[in-house]
Formats: sequence, structure tokens, C-alpha cells
Amino acid sequence: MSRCLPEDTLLMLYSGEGSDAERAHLRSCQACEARHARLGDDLQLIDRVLSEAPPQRTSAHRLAPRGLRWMPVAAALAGIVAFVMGVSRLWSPPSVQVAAATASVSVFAEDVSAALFATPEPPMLEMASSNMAHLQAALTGGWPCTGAQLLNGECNDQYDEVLEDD
Amino acid sequence: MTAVADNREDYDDLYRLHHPRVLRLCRLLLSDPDEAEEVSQDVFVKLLKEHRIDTRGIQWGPWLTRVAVNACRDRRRSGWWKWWRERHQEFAEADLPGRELTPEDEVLNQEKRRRIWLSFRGLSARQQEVFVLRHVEGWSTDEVAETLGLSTGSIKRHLFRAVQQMRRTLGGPT
Repeated sequence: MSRCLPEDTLLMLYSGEGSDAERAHLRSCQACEARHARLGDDLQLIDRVLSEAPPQRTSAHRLAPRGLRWMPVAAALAGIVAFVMGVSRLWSPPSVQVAAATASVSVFAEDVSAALFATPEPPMLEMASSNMAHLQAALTGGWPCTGAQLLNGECNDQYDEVLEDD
Repeated sequence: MTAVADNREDYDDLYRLHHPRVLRLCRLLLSDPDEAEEVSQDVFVKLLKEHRIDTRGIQWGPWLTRVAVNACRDRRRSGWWKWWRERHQEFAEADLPGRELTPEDEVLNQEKRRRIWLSFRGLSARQQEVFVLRHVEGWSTDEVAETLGLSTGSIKRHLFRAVQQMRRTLGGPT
């Protein structure tokens, strides 16, 4: 093992754990040995301080920064306000804006349905039907009549029919 | 009658032997010394009940430590707000121990002591438990893992983070 040991390995070695290879490296590497010794000094100091009776707390006016002390209270208040606002929004009657929007939507829907289902005006319908009669007559070959047919009066029925339509 | 008397004697011995250690443990894991005293008394009430029921094969030292750690955790959970607030309190230098310490301890900088305590109080509850059991109580990693119901890898991570954080206050590696 040629690379220096990481801090967590040094901690394990200090605690009596770690592999033989790591221990061998620790013995051979002065840098790691120095770091290991510093770690040991720090831990001994920490252990000694923590083994003593914990000191008393200061009075309330020397507590931690004000922001830190009130952070949970502020967070709880913000949560309550957000909850109340959410609940009131859910349960409150629709506002004026909502009513106006609903009205405009209904008007639009009426316009659309009127446009879709509107019936044509009566004269338009009649014109369309007469044109259809002419067209049908032309397609079936019964009309227009030839000159001879007109003279013989063979097409009178068709004319009467057209005149009646018009 | 004799058996009861023997039990009582055993209990007294156990109390004398372990009470200072359990109280120190509770004072480390709880910020309030009065609360620590209460919890340590509760622990020994539990010991008394358990001691009457069954004393076969129980290692009372580890048993007491385990019960004390759990009791402190329950106490912290029940008073989370108080516990959170007190984590951030300052320590009064005048109240720091040191007047009756050895000359070597006297040399130890008061500011350093204050910073170590503050740093310890700044650790998470789990990190505090791991650090105390591993370093103050001197348990092995496996024993701590079994007691806290965690894996050994998790114990090592908690311990490493706790040590790093506390060493930073001493100017150690970041």
C-alpha cells in the first residue's frame, strides 16, 4: 500500500480496527503517522471534555441567533396560513370573475350551437329545391326538350312543373 | 426471603456500580441535567422490575446502556421543540468545569471546551449516540450497531461525520 490513508481509515485504525496492510502502511508512512497522532490528540481532548459534567446553559437572552430560534415557529405559522388559505379557497363560493367567465362561455356555446344547427331561410330552401328539380330532369334526360318536342307540346308537363316551382 | 434480600443486595450493587455512568450518558444525550436525572431514575426503576423477573444470563451493564439510550431517545422525541431549541444554546464560560481539574486540564483553553460542547450538541441525535457509545462507553462498532439496530457501515459513517465535525471546531481537517 503506497497511497496515504484516508481520514476514515485513520479513525478505524485509532479505534482498533482496520486491516494489517493499513497498519503496516501507518507504521511506514511518517505523514500518515503524524495525521494519526493528531487525530488521537483531538479525540482524547474531545473525550476528556465530554467526560466532564456538561456545563450549564446560559440564560435566554444569550441564546443562539434570533433567526435560528424562531425558524421552526415561523415555518409552522407559514404552514398553518398556507393550509387555511388552501381550505378557504376550496370551500369559498365562486368569485365575480369566475361567474363572468362562466357567462361568456355560455354565450359562446350558444353562438356555436346556433351556427351549427341553424336551418336555412325558406326562400333559399325553395330555390334549392327548384334547382334540384331542374338538375334531376337534366340528368334523367327528360329535359330540356328538343325544338320538335316543344312544338308538339310534349314538354308542357315539365314547364308547368318548373313554373309551379318558381 | 433470603432470595429477595439477595436480589435487593444485587440491585444496590448494580445501582452503585452503574448509576454514575448511566447518569453521565443521559447528560450527554439530553441537554437538560434535570431531565437526565429523571431519565436515569426511570432506567433504574426498569432495572428493578426486570431484576425481579429474571436475572439469568443478563449482562446488566450493556442492558442499562441500551435502556438508557432508548429512554433518552424517547424523551427527546416527546420534547422535540425543547431539545431543538437547546441544541443552539450557548454555554456560560463561568459554569464550565475546570476549577477543580488537574493542571493539565487547567491549561486547556476554555474557549476550546465551549466549542467542543457546542459542536457535540450540534450533532444529530444518531451521531451523538454513536459517538458516545463508541468513544465514551468504549463499545466496539459491532456492539453499537447491534444496540442501535444499524449496520456497521452506517455506524462507521455516523462516527466519521461526528468526529470530522467536532475536529473542525478544533481546527482539524475539514
